[in-house]
Amino acid sequence: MTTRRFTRIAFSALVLLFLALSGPAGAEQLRIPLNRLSADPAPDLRGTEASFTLKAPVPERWEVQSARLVLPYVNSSAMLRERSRLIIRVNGIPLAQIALDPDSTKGEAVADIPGDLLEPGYNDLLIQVAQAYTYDCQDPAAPELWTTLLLDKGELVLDYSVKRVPPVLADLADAIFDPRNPIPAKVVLVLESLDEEHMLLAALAASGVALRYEYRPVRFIITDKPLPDSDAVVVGSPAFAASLLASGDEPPQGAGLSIRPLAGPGQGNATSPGAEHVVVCITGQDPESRLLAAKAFSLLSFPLPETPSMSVEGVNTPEISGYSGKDMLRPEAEYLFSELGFETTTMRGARPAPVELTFRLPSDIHSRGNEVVRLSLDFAHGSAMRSDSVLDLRLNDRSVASIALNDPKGARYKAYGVDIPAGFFKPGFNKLVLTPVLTPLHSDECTFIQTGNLFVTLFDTSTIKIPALEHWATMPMLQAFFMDGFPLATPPDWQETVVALGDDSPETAAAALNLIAMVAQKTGVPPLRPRFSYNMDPEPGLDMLLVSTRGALPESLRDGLPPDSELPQAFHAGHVSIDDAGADTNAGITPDKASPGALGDRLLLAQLRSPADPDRTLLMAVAENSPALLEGALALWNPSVQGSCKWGLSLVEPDAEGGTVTALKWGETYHLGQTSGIPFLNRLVYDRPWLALGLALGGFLLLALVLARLLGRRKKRRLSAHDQG
Amino acid sequence: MAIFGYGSLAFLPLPWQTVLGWAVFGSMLLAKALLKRSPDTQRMLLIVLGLFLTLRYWSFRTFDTLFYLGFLDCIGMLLLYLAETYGILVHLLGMFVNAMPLKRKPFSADLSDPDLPTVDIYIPTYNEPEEMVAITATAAAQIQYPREKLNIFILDDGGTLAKRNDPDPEVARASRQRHEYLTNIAEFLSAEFGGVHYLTREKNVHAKAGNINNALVCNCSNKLGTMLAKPSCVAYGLEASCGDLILILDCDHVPAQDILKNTVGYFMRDEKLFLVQTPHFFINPDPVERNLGTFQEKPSENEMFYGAVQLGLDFWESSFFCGSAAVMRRSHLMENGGLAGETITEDAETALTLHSKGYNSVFVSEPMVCGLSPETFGDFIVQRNRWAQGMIQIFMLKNPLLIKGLKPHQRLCYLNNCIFWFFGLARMIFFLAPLMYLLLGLKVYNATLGQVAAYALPHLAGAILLSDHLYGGVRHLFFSELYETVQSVFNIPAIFGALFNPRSPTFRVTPKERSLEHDFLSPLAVPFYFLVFLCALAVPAAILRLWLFPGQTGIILITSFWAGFNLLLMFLCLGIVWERRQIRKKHRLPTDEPVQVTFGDGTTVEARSIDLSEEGIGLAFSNERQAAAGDALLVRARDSYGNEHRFRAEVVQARTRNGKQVLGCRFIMEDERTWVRIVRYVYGDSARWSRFWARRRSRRIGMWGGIAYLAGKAFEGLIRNFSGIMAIMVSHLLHGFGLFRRRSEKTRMAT
Repeated sequence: MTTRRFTRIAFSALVLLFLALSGPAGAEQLRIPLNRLSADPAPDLRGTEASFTLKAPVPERWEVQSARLVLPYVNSSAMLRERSRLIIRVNGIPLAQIALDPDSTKGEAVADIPGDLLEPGYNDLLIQVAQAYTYDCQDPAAPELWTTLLLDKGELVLDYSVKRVPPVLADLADAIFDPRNPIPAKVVLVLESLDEEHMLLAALAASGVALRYEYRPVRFIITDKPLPDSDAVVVGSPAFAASLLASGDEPPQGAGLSIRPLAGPGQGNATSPGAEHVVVCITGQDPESRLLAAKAFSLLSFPLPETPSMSVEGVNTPEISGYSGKDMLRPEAEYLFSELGFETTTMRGARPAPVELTFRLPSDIHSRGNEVVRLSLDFAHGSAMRSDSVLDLRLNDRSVASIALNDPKGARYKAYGVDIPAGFFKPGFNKLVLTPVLTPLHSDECTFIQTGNLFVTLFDTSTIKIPALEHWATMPMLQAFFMDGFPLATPPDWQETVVALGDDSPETAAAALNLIAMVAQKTGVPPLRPRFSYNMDPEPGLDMLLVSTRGALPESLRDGLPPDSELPQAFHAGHVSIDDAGADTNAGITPDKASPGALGDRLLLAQLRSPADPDRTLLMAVAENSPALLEGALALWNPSVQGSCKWGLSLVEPDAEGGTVTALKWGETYHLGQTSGIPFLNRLVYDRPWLALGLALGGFLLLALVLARLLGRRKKRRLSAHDQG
Repeated sequence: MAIFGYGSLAFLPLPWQTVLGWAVFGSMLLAKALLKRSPDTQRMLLIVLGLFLTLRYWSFRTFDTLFYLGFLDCIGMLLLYLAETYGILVHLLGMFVNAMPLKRKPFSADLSDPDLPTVDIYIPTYNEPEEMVAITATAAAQIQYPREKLNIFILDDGGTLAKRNDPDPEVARASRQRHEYLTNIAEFLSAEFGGVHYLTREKNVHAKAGNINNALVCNCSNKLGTMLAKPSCVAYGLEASCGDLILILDCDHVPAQDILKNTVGYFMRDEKLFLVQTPHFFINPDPVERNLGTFQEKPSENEMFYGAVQLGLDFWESSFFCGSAAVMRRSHLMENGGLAGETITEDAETALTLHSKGYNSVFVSEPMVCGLSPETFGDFIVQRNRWAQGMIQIFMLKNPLLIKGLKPHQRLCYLNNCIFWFFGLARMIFFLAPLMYLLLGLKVYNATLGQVAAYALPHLAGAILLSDHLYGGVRHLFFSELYETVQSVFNIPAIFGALFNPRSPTFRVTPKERSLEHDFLSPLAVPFYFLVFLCALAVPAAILRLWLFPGQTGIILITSFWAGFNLLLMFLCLGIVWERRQIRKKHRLPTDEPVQVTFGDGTTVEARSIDLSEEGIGLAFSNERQAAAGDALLVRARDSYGNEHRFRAEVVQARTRNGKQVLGCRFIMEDERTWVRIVRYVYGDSARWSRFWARRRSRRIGMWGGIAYLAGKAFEGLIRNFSGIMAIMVSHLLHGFGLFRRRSEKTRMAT
């Protein structure tokens, strides 16, 4: 009995121990720093009432068991504890409220979030404050009413498990390559060959993945078979794909797409995330069918079925113009706000949250100075507002206009015109923020202050009209490449670009694919028409992306790069910029590590005028060896690394935090654009202005001499016709 | 040229444009300084550089500054743009016309040549003083030319049969008197020199052109004696057997002796030549010159036309007939049916028609007639409006771009002649443009200070420099702007009248030799006070705007400077409309010529003539010999042809100035022959007019000096105007006070 009882107890203890150790089936924990959920790391909540919203992503493939929000904050010491509160709501449900204590101004709000409250998608984490400094009626905009949220010190802890459901192709966007997945994505590309044809297919495949991830970094590597811890994309013939899949998983024989659970050592192990990865096969018997399948995969508009595989019969490729792509506003066009993703919004209260419009302008736009961008705003505002109520317009953090909302009876406006000088807009991304500042009609301190009537509704029928602008850019300008792929991805299907590879190593190929996919994510257009080549000689009429080890570079191109002695050593003191004059601003920074070679582990990005065509650009990505090339390219997925790449030459040094960039103003300045119809004269004027000026003055003198001679002859004729002698 | 065009229109970033604009202007300065030895190349280079700057500015204005910013803003903006475009077009046409001015060497005909053509001199007159006609006829009778080949006709439209029988007895009486006086003059001169005739007609039809055409018909009847016996001449049939050439002289244009000698030879070399035009030299200041006191200091307004523009037109075979002081070939004229009469500028119209038939013209730049400018501002405006309307009539009815037969360069020249007269509209818009912004806040010029510095200022500086180079000798800086501004107010209705109804304008004779016994305010002055008031309002408006709109400082400064310049022009206009009295009855031309003066006691001194008219002469000589009023003198002088002239004169006024004895003398008229000799001496020597022009043209000053000169004249004019007004007001007050006192006294006496 004792033995049996002991055995039973021991068995029960073992089961309990096992259960305790294993936890829920497939359970994972992820800690997301809150500053990754917001562009503002320390938002202020001001006034008697204010709020701030964080969007918490939950991928489709996750099942959240529980979550916890940890939010440090600092509040004003002038507030009344009894009337001041911080409230946390998740998807509208209040989960926590904390008194804002003037005696203890630093605090930490913690809210436990039930797992079932968090749905797949973006969940609203609303942080509200009600703030007071007096028991009596108070000024709603009193400056002493503030609370600062310290998002960089807070976190959202998610306990989740990965759902195990048989994958179908329709899941690719929502569940597989899910932009809501906060975990950095890695995708393995398995290619049947690294020849030019398969590189184009791989570029389309990588771009298709990157586009589905929207703005999330995706690191691509090339291997000879799928890896257990990553999703994989196989590109090749059906036979090649079949050789990598479990038997019975053969892909379609024609142009086809298929998706399979990853077959590998981790499959079936509930504790391994690798068990839930997939293999996507892009296959075809011949090059045409493979290209058809790859295009189908790369185009987000191509409908994917709720089945594990499909045959592709045809693809309608959209018309790609010179300046098109995601969020791109073209000159000489008018756009509805709804086309920019804006929905009609009502902003209520004295200090409502502003509305934002973000959009891109081509990287090479250039304002002559007098053009204006016209906003035609459709909006309405509430009645009984004080006449100093306004709607402020800020463009790229600069106040550019303000509209008086001064009709006490309320008003509705159709096409209210606001002209903003085009020069205020930047090439690339622009942010237009409309901020209402609404004042109650009666705002004496001891009057009941009604704020319910304060509102502005901005309708999505409002428009923005971009005027005709010059296309003119001073090169080199690496920052433009990382903005929208300019000039290689102009047009965004890379139709005027050759991608040249220095060798046929998987790392070099993967480096190129990462760069292309990165640009595709920015333009929103897959690279449908680049030409891949292992010939590194630039060609007339085409831009070139050259990805190579330094040793493999042709001598002429290698000589075009700065010599080792001129390359700066690696700095580990942050992102450093050195100008032509010699970096006096950084003179105090000392390298803490000597690089083994001039390049070392760094990736060198150099942008220069194509030797084969003065109107074309050569962008070189060069490293000492292929692994360094790939590491550098992967590091470029980090937005802060991209943002630091600029001017003519950038050195990217990968590190654990992403990477360090040293940018130099290097290389001959040249210009690209369409300022006139005579490219030769354009080049002369823009590249050698003083020579052009001298030639122009010389030309004027010559013209004057010729005219003087011609008219002089006529003068003689006129005189001899009548005068004597 | 294509590259030039590209360079003119291509876009450049602003900093580069700034460098380019000022580099080109700097090159203009260099060319001006370094290329003096190659004037043709220098002029051409300056034109090319100036053209480049102007085209760049215009392309900037066209492509970068025109936006819809509101209805009224848009209207103002377009008006200003059109005015600027007009100004630039006129500037460019001016460059073209003056690209290679043709300064002809004097071409003296051999007067003993038996092949010399016969010449008729026509002196058309309507209502001008008879004495004026007599002087012109007397001078014409003394022109150097074989007498048997010369006939002079006084074409009197003031003594037509219709006028002499006018229902108004006063008109009829005056007409008969005039007819008789001029007939007597013709008979006297005919007796003295031969070949001077009086000719009138039955009715006044088609004004001056009709008068001349009538003479052309009459004279070619081959029945001269018969015809002259008739009281009037009506169509005798078109025949070309009389005078081969016609010299046309306005009755106030007194010819020099050598006018035919210097012009007829051209016709002997070129059968297709229909016209030799010579400049109009004016002995008296026009109202602008007189009222601002610039007559002896700066070139007259017409000198730019006769000293530069006509030379340029001559180069392009486009110098045109200016109504007087011109010799024309009768046969070509008759082919045209005489002088054209569709417009009120029959002269230019005739030239246009004959040019379009392939005939040639020549301009001789030596002045060989001496005429009279209008005396009052009102008369001046009447004259200019007639010209403006006539040229616009030509533009509308015989558009030089469309008329058949003209060569392309002739089309451009005539286009320039026609569209120039739209300046009134442009000038008024330029006046109002800064006020539109300063007073009304209209955004009519959408450019930043940087763009103005990069585009507008180099263009303006280049245009000023180029204008100074092309016309500097004959036109003071900004005088064009001044003349255009002062005419613009009255010019605009005339322009519109001719534009909308091109056949409506009628010929109005310019009144000449009016009496100006005292200072007075021109009846046309009122609009200028209003414009000055508007301009003055701009000053507080600019200050207010600077305070209210600190972000618009650049445009406020630009418009304020602009309005300030306009105000300066307005002050000058106020000076112009205050008419100053003309002390002398006859205009005295400043001279500086050697003369010998013999006093009653037989002593002779070498003296210089300092002024001259047909009434008297000013003399200056060493202070050693004293003279007193009433002294009789014998004056001996030589003209530039070597002829000696002797006159008796009486000292009217004697004074000492700068250590010299200065005498004002009156000629003693012993008989009619004395008067004839005086006319010959005073008006017969064309070199005198040339010397006078040359002396004024030599007084060139730089840009800043020019602005200072104008500013000085502006404030002088302003003060004179307002002090004159004050004087009038005080006078009226005193008059009123006098009336009141007399009435009070009457009342007191009555009571």
